[in-house]
Amino acid sequence: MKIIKKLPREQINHGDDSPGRQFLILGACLLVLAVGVYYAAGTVISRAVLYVPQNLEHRLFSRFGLHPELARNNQQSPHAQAVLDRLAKATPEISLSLRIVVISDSISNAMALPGGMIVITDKLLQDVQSENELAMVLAHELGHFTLRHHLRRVSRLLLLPALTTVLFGDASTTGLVSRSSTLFELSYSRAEESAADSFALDTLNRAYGHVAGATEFFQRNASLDSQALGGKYSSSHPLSTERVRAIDLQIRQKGYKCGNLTALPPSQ
Amino acid sequence: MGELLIFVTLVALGFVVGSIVERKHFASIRERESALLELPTIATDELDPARVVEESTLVVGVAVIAVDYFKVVAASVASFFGCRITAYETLLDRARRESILRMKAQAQGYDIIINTRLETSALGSERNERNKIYSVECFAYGTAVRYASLR
Repeated sequence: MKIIKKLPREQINHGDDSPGRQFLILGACLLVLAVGVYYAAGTVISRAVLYVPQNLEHRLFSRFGLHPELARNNQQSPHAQAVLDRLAKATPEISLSLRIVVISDSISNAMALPGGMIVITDKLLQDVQSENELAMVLAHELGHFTLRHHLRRVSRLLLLPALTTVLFGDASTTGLVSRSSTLFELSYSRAEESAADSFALDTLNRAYGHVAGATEFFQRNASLDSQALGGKYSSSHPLSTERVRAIDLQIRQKGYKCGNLTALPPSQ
Repeated sequence: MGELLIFVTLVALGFVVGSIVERKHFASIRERESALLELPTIATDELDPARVVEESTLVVGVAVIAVDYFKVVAASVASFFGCRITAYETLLDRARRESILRMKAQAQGYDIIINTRLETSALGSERNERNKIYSVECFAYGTAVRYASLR
């Protein structure tokens, strides 16, 4: 056997493709694909969720309770429940009984959760100065519930982690991805907030016969908005001054009247 | 946002530094391959029938090369589409050639290395769940043979 001494030919075993270029091209394709799927799935889910009937939602979610830490501090507020019941009776679309849960927190907040539970903070109960203001806030949450916004939000929040888990095969990348998408989630929900405001105004009028107290709470909170970092874009609600303006416009357009405010019961 | 920035920085760093290190290593490999060209290495056990074997011994060359962060990311993107992972190809080529060169370096003073075999394995160190940083170990072994000098 004759042995010929030769140097190895370079480009056979690793080619001359630049790994950097391959990474950029493939990475771009992957990104486009992922974004496309996210928006497509998001749209489908948003549409589909509107068809979830209230009794199905109740069956699925009514077993869900509050986080044990929150549940420890919760109080009952029969007055708030009564206001909610009055609003619900005035709204033909609502077929479920909704319950109110009060948790203690240092900021006023209200939230509609899947399953027909509306959570409000005790600070909110302290801040409202008339029953009508409380009714407006509750009607706003009722609006989210009726328009199925709360389901949309939950499903959208679940979509991104689900997608990243499928893409990357493990759940640990979700933190990275979900934080960078918060901005998109916020801008979507501002349109929902305006729709809920509109619904709230109509409901308030139906339940009480007039719309006094509709904007006072938001007007008082306008001063807080300017303190928030990022102002308009980082807040998940439209700025209070804009809300007030929008509500006032609707009052004029729909010809609603202002009546006498109903006072809160002395214990509040 | 901070996590994303760290990720991008690590990838960029891996790419830049990794490319420089790789180029330098390939240059060193080519240089030594030219220098050690005179010592043949074959995979069969065929000896020169006209000569007598004076001495033979096992020679071994080991090379361990680490994967940089850019390679890991590039590989996971390529594996999503089922492409050739060019980033890993260069890595393995380096490891293989380096281990063969080290084996040859052990066989200085011998005439030929027969029955050369190569073994490759991945060493894993799981720093955290997501970033499994592997290194590649290549192990070349053969029998170095010295013929009796021709009279």
